[in-house]
Amino acid sequence: MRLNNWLLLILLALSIVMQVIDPSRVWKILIVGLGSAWLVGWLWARGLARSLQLTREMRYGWAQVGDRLEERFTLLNASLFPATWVEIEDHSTLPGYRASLATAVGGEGEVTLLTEGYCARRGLYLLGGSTLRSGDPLGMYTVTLEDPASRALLVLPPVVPLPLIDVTPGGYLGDGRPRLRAPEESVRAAGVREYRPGDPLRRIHWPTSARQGKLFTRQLEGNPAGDWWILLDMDQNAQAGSDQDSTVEHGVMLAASLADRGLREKQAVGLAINGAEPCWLTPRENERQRWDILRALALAQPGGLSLRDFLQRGGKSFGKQASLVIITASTRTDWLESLAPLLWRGLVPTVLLLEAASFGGQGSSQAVAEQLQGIGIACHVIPRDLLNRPEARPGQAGRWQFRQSKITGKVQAIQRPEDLDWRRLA
Amino acid sequence: MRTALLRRFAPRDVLTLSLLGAAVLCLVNGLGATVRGAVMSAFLPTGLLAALLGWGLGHRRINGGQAAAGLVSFGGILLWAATARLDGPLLGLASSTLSYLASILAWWQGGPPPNPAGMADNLNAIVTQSAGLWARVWLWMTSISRNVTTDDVVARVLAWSLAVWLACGWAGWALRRGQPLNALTPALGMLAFVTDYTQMEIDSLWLLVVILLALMGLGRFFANLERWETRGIDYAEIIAANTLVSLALLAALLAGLAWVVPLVPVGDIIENLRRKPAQSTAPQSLGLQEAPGQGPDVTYSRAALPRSHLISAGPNLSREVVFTVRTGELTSLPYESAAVNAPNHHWRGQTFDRYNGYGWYSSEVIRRGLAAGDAFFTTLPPGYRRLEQQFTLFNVEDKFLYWAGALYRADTEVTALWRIQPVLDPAGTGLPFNESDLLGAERQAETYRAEAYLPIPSVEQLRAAGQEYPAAIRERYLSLPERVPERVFALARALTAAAPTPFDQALAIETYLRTNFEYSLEVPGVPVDSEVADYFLFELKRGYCDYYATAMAVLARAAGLPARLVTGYASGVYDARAAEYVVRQSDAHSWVEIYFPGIGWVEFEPTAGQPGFDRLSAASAVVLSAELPPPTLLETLKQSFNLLPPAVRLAVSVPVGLILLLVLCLALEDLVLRVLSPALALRWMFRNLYCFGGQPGPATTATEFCAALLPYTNDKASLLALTSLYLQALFSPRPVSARSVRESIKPWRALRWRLVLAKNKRNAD
Repeated sequence: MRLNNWLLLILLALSIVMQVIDPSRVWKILIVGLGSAWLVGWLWARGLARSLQLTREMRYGWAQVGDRLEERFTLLNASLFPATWVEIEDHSTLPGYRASLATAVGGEGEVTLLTEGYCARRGLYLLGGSTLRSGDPLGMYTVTLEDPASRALLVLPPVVPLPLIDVTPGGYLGDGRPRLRAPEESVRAAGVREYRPGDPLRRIHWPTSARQGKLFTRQLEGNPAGDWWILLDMDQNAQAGSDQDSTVEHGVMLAASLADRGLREKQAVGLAINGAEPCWLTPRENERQRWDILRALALAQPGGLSLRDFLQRGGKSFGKQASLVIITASTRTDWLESLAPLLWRGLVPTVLLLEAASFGGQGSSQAVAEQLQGIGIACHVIPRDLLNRPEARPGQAGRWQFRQSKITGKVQAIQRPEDLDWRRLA
Repeated sequence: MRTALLRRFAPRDVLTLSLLGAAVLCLVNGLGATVRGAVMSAFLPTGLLAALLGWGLGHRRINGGQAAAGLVSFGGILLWAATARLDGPLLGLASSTLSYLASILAWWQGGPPPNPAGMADNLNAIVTQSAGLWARVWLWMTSISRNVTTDDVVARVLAWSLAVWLACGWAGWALRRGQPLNALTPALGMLAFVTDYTQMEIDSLWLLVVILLALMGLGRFFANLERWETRGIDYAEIIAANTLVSLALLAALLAGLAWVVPLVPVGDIIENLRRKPAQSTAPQSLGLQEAPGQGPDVTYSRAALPRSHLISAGPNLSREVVFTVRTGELTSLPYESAAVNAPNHHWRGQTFDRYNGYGWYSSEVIRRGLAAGDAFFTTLPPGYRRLEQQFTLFNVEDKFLYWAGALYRADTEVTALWRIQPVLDPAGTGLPFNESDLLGAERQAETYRAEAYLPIPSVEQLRAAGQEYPAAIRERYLSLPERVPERVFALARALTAAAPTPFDQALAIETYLRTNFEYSLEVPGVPVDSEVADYFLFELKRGYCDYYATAMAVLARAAGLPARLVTGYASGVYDARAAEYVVRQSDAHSWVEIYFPGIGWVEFEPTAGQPGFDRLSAASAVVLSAELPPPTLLETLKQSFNLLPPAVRLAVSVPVGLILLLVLCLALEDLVLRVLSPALALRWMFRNLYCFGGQPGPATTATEFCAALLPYTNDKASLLALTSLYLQALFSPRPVSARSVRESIKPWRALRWRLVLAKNKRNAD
């Protein structure tokens, strides 16, 4: 509770002193007028400070970009004095989410307000705390109440239907890690290989093991041809564009969508991120892996390591006989040299080149693509419009998004379609 | 355009500006009512202009220093120009400068050379008027620094206008910055101290407090709105309604409290509670009696409202001779037609100090009877000349004494009617004569000689008199009724703005009235709802002496000059042959006196057509001035005794009276002893000794008694001689001579005195 202007008390004290020195009705008027105003303000503010209470509730613990966020504010005033104004300042870090509002609560009253938001950017955010401000009608005092209650909100990157992008399969038939509890889709053996720790014992080919004097495992038809490694290059020197319309966000979206596609196709998908904090997720094909990949992508931020260095340092971690999907916006070719050892180890790369020029960046992605194709590496150039097309973002075309004040009833458009022209039917 | 205007003046601005205007109104109303000579409408434009200017300067792009500099400099220049009446000269200077530039161009093309005289004249007028105003302001400021009361209305209004300007400008600036309490604090403080001093217009202060509270609430609300809009915070419309309703209710409640609570007579309630048991009838029922106390002091007032000086009564045009006056200033001439430049005198009858907007009346007076020859006063400041006046009254209806100047004494019994009685102080330590205030004097005789003293101060003395008026004069002769409109004050300020001294200001008013208004006896009555001076100055613009004198007295008071109205008769016609003034009923006249510190009341003649009063040079005044005759010893003793405090007078009177009584008794005794026969005298003397020497026994002889008294006296021979004489008177056939008795009286008294002392000593032992 803070007195807004000490001058009031100084005037009051001066009036009292003058009344003592020179009693007069003038000073009495000032003492009674200013003094009672101060007293009423103090009592009013004190009552509000002791009895205002805010409760915030939200429906979900996580969301994806594009999801709606719904929150409920319950403001309780147990005081006899009405709170003619209460300002709730929201300290949430979610971009574009504005839950701050101002309302009034009657004496011994309660107000419930619903706020809706739109998750516009991936990341880990904090929802809450809040600062409550109120005061007496005369503006003598300002009451400030801090409500530290907060909750983390993870906004995952969007997963969009991708246009046809071929990922060159890596390894041979029967290569790859067998699934522990996968139903046997095929009983025809494709071959044997040396036992690796973790292989089911029932797959051990005992005759060969006996012959060779060490354990061999059967390889069956229908097993994955090879794991998918998705390498997202977030070298900040190679990025172009800004905010949502940048190679970073498009790369994240592409990686998330590819991982989703791979996992839905029963591929073991791993993720490597060359970002501020390098991330390695070994290939798996369960739902947990989907969550881990999306979470890692949600938190990924550009870093300073170049793709070339990243491949040199971490290339051995990709193992052998797998598909390596490299998503990069780099227009340099120096990292191609680092690909050679991977190729030798049986990794089959597919490069998704984000076209930096279409995002306002420098250099030509086509040159890199031609060079890649020259050495027999599959390459797709991803232009800016690829993920901005309506078919790439279902439900976005013609989508309006409104924000309606629960207090005033005012409606405000916070998202509107880009193309609003009317066209005559042919 | 309309949208821009609406955006610029949003409802919140309109509301805030309205309250600011109301606050300014309260301030100027309070000051206008309490500051003498400065009514509300004089300050209102100043306050509103300053508030709007401050509001404009309160824009965020202008910092506080720039705003303060702009406000102070612009306000100072504007108020100075307005007070010094520089508008005309400034416009003239601008016009003459343009003309001069045009003439330079013409001269360049072969025309006549340019003449800068017009510019110089206007510049000179600006400098002169500014210098005059500066002299007054400087005098006013130095008087304040010397803790001397000065009543220069122009300097005073300028100072108050500047204060109003600064307070209102600050209020506008700070309010625009969202600081309502800071904004109104200077205005509130100024009004509070002024109201506390004057105890007038408390309503304005109260209203200002209410406005301050409302502005505080609104200021907070608007600041919140601005913050919410800036931050994009969604806010409920209900907030506005809730805030405004709560604020209105709270403001009304607090306003009521602030008005009612100070009115609760806590002291009286306690006193009544204390008295209640005393008023109970139980003590009377029980037969308890109170000591008879003295009743309350009874004060009474005596109305003194002469109907003839309510302006609507009209002049008396009779040609009947009222009185003749001989002054002895000029000797008689043999021919009536001789052209004589007789001195101009005004024969005064009464003076009036109170003005109610309709006419003049007097405050309560003290009646003091004076015997013929008694002096009205004993001290007189320098600059007066003596004038003997022999009056012969013929048909004067009233009972007032007439004279010219300051009446010293008359050779007839009179009753002086004092509003302020002078202290008769020969040492000059009491109330000076020029601070006394005489309504007039009632006479008994129709022929009398009056000795008076005419004030003849020089112009230099009048200009140097200053404005250090005594408190009694200020209180009595500067008051004006509330009915006097502001335009009268404005006219007074305009007339006196460029006059540096009070004398010049009085002359400016006198000249204005004498030269701008037509003398006429045919005038309609003053409308009931009009104030006389205002009606005469602005609507009637003609009239007779009562109108002129009233207008001058009101204008002088409005300009801060103590003034009073005097009624009586003009000089009349001087009869050179009889060497006397013949005064007729048609010479009835009113004029004005203005008070000058150290000099007294000085007459002014505002009526057009009447000869004005001559003002003397310093040298002439010295030659003509006279002093009062020295008082006699008895008068001095009497006056000295009267000057003593009552207790001292009582302490002196009792012993002196006893001594005088003793002396009287002794003288009487001496007479008796001389009248009685020697035998009887001696017997009385000897028996008188019995009273003090002790009663002798029945067998005690005179010789034995004498022997008993011998130890009490050193003059034993006298005692023996007295005893011998007593025995001779008793028993000898030879009579005692009267001479022997007379010679024995003195030693007898000495012996008696010794016996008295001895008896007292015995009683003490």
